[in-house]
Amino acid sequence: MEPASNQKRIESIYQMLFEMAAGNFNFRIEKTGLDDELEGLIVLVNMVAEELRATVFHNGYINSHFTYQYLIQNTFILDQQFIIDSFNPDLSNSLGYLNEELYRAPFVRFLSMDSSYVWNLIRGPILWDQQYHKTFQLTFKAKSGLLIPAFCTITRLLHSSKILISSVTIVVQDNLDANPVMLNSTTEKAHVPKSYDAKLIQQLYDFILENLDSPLPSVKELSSKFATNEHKLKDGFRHFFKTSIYQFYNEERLKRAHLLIQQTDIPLKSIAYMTGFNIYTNFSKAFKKRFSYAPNALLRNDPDGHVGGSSDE
Amino acid sequence: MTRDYESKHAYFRISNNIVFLELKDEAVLDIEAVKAITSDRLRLQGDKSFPVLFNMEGVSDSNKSGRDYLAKYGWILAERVGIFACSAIALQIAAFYLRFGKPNVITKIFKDKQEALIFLEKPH
Repeated sequence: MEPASNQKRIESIYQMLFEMAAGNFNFRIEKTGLDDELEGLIVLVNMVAEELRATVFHNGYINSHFTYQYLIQNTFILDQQFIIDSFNPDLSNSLGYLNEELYRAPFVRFLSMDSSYVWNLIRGPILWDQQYHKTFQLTFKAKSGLLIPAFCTITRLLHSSKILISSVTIVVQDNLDANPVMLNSTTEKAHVPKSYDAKLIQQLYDFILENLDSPLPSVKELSSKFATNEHKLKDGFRHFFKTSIYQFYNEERLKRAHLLIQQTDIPLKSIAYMTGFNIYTNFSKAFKKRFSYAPNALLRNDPDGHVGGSSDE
Repeated sequence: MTRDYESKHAYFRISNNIVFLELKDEAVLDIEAVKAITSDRLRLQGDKSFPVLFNMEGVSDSNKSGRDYLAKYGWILAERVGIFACSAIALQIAAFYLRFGKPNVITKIFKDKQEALIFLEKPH
């Protein structure tokens, strides 16, 4: 590999790390398909961005430098030759190209290699199906060379031959005007946002997942185990996961039981026991409540999950 | 007893009471692939559990949903998992998966197949 191309790959890693430090986890570095150490590093950096993005947005854990998240919507209108006819004014900001570079350019020019392959496959169907309307992931190539995966809705428009492509990306933006602690001229108390112990809740979450095969300890026992109080535990868990501790535990163990029934031949009574139910009827009742069919109604050893099987327990 | 089975994403073999699961070249560890590999492995194993040697050398990419699904649901009826990975990409993906996917089965990564087998053969 020429040193010049390696330098380019290293520079894209520098860029990625700067973007991530700024709170932007939407980019990805393009892979070269080589099997060297640098590629391993690129793969790792991409995985870190993916993981952090999920953490930041799912759990609401936000770096204290940033107070606003913006939804960036990118919209393209293409003609029947898939040339960009029109687009939203903010597109040049999010992808980094000038308006002149976008206008009347082929849409495929702004897609990654993998996505342009996918795009070429769907060009035909888009044209001959007047009702075409599909959503899937496409990866855009920003001006900087970095990749931006986005969920795109591609649709034909009624009373028009044009094609609409709409995608949404979440970007964290710094807003210097906002201040989490606001003091009014009146004697109103300062409004300080509640802080949640993300690390503690993460530990609790992991503990629950690792112990689905036993009945869940009471909140009192859990708060003693994690050296905190019941309120912090219950409140914190609900804040991050939008559900109660017990509901989460129950949902996860029933999901696991469902998979075990589908994918294995283990007797139902054993599966109940393996998923924290000491009494079979409790298991069967909870299962039916969750899935609307009894455990013995589920077809065994069928990865496609068809319902309907033997009627004896 | 040796049995050979080939699927879209991997090769499977049971030998010496160990399940050998080898990803094919250019395999992508996304949720569809992981689901398929898991159900194929379970079909091969019947209702018996085995230690598994998971050869990840062929992997070329992965995503979070694939890694997380593998960690949470991919190792039913696996007693313990020895991951074999020595090339740069495979090693990074394996290490990341182990640390952040947090599989609920005993998992260790090996750059040497023999060491992996010793780990898997050891009675626990």
